[in-house]
Amino acid sequence: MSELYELIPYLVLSITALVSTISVYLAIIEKDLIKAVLYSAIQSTFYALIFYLLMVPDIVLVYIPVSVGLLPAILIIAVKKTEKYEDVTGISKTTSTIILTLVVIFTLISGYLLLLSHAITFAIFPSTDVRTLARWFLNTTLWWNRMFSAMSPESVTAIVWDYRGLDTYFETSVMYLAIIGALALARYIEIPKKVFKEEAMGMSIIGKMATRIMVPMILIVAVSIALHGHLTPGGGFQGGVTAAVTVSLLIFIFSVYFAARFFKINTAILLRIIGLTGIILAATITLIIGFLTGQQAYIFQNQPKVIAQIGLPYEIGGNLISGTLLIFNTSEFLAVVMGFAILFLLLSIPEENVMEVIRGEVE
Amino acid sequence: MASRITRAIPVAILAFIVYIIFTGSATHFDIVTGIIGAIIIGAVFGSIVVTNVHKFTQVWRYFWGLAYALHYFFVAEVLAHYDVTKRILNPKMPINPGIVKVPIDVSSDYSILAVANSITNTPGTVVVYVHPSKKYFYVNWINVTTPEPEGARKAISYIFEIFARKVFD
Amino acid sequence: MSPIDFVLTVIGYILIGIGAFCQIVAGMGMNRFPNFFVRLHAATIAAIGGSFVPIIGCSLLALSFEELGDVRFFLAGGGFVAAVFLLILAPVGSHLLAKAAYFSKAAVLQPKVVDALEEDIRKGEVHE
Repeated sequence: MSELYELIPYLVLSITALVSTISVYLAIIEKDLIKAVLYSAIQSTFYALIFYLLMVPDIVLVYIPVSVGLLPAILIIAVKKTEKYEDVTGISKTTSTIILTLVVIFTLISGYLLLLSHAITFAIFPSTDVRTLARWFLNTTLWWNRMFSAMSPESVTAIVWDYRGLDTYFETSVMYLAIIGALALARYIEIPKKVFKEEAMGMSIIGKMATRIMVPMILIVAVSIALHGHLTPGGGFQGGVTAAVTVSLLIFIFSVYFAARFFKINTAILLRIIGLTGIILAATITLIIGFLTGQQAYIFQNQPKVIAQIGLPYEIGGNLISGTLLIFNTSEFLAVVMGFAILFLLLSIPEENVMEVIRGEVE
Repeated sequence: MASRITRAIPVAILAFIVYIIFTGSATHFDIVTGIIGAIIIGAVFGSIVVTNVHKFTQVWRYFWGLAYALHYFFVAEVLAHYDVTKRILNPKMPINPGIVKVPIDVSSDYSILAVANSITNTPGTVVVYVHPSKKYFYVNWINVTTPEPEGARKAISYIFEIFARKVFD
Repeated sequence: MSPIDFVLTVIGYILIGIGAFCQIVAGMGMNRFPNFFVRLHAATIAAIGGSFVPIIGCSLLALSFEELGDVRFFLAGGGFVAAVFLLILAPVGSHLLAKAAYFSKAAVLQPKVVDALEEDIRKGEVHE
């Protein structure tokens, strides 16, 4: 008997999935738009049931009123306004509208009744327990045991570093190679020296003044995103991309010559190399310490593990820095923002200058 | 060089304040990283943000700025939102749009930004073009009561100009 | 819950409610207004009343929600900074859009009562 009881949700799930698929099919082939709306409302009701069975009652509570009540109502109004029947059938418009309104109300009420009755009889509310996988990740990030965790409360960063370190490393390498490729293509091509009047170029004065004040503000927000990657959502890549926005703003609102004052390509390459060196250092620093002290250590190791007792300090004076994560985030920020700056500047060099260089090489 | 350092200071202070507010905490880590980041950014971008450092030391400007903000948020914005909302919800939709020429009398570029942003941010008026002499705005106005420049100035930009002159000029 | 938190919560909810109302009104205006330039005014309602105000409301709400612990300052700070950025950058976007649409003649200013800019272009005072 108890086995049957456990099977019931899956049975209901399969039936509702089947019914909703059928109503989608009917809604597509139906010529009368009002009836099509009706079928789609039925489908939404059964979707709501599926959501409930998949243990997300909060989504159901939003989904039923919106997609069974509100959406069909808006669709009816739209159909009534446009009067676009694909094919006029026997039912008159007012009758079908009344029928539809009744059906919408009925589905709304029955949906809620179904939900309530289901909740009372089957009692499969979402469990307050965490599942095994979630517990594993929580233990390896939030559980403050250095043998297992990356000592960072931001679980995404901790997992990226402790479980997907190689992955992240090669992602960075792909971007590094892409920018090396762009630089190789654009060899000998430089941003031309040009005397220009700031007043005469770029967008209007309102855009320019707003950009002047916002560029430092966007940069400082990007720095904050990057340096708090081990504490809050964000990190080196996200911060770097935010900061790269400023380069494109300077190029488009002012001019590429103006942007080149602040982001010189050669300086950008240098800073980018420093950033990449930092990333390599973050990946190998425990290994180097292990070599020097003659202990066992791994590449990409951050905190001490059971068989490799070396690790970087996870805090300095009570401030959490999560070992190598801070080095990694800072270096990644530098590498990403400078990489994007190089790309943006190279892409906005006027074509005449590029052609000059190319012709010169051919001759 | 000296002017470059003095120009960097206000930008660095502003950047540091934004950093602390955005981070939402003030531990030693935040303060140290914030100061380093703010100094670098101030040194690089100070020259394009600030033209006259002395204005930052004049305290009365901040009080005028506060008055500007209070007037802008609680009077100008509320009235403009009420007006345009009424026009949208009115079944007859009473609009007479048009572009009027509005003379402005402010000297610094930040005043122009402040006045133009205030005008554009209040529903019902959008700055379309700034005259190259920086003396006129061309404003798209949802309800043109008068095409005369001076009359339009009284209705659109006069109060913002008073405040902007006090704060930025 | 302390009285200050209660007041912050109430103000936060009121601001979010104002934001929802403004968004709906702005959507209606977008549909009803006749051309691009008039629709920009509806877009301004969406940007200030519909985005700036509720973001401030969310920040106040986060600030008053003590269960969050220290994270609430992070949420509120991010909200405030985003709101201020929006306040400065949204009108710049509106202005640049209007300027581009006017001079590229992508949108026609019709109906209109007066067009001072066109007159000045014809007189030769403004070149574009």
